[in-house]
Amino acid sequence: MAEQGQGGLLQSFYENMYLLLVVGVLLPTVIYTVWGLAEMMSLPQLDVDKYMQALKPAPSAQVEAQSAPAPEAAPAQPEQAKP
Amino acid sequence: MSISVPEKGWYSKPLDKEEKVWVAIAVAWCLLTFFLMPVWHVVGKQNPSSESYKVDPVKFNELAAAFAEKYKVGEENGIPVVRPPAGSDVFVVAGSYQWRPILELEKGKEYRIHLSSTDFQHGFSVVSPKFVMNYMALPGYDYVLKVTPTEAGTYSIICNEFCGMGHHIMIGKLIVK
Repeated sequence: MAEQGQGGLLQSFYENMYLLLVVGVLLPTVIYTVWGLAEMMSLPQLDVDKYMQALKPAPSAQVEAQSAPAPEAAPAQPEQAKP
Repeated sequence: MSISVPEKGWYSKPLDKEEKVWVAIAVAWCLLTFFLMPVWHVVGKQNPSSESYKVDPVKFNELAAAFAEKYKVGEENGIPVVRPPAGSDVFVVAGSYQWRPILELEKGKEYRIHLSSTDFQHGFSVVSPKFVMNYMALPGYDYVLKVTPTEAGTYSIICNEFCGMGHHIMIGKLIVK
């Protein structure tokens, strides 16, 4: 139990309004703002390429498209005789 | 510092029974609500997951467009209606007072809904007569929600974060079949 006239550490906060102000501003700043910023900065980057790759047509479809017969090449134009 | 200075040594006086009871009730209530937070997160099944990523808004928009293109089954007022495979990653983008695309999900299957915005902060609010679920769509961040629809129906998605002149017309749709 605290001695007469002294209230311990917590009481000293209550009796000094400037100390209370500092604690009142510091605590929410650290718990909300600083913690929040630290959390936001530590977020990993989304692997967009991985998802993009998955959304592309299946490889079999690509192979089919590649193996389809190519349109007949246009007959080569006879080279014009140079004057 | 108080308006009137209390008598010396007031803090050393023992509490009377009534005050002790009220302090005990207040402390017990604080502890109960404190421990219920993590408990409810596990058993409540309605808390958002904590999976988030940073993402370039332009790239996310391209990803959502590619997703909508691949699984598109229709269109409503120029907004694609998509039916993604069950258990897949789903991309929803908020921007220009629209939610794109309109999702058609299967009842009882889990989906990972990636949520982001291309312009401002929006509120992703799924509205039904029984419940309202609220999440945030932030530009530059991808917020992943693990969702298992349990009831078939058509749900409205409204923006619950004031985002500009078209805020009131920013209404999307979620279909569960």
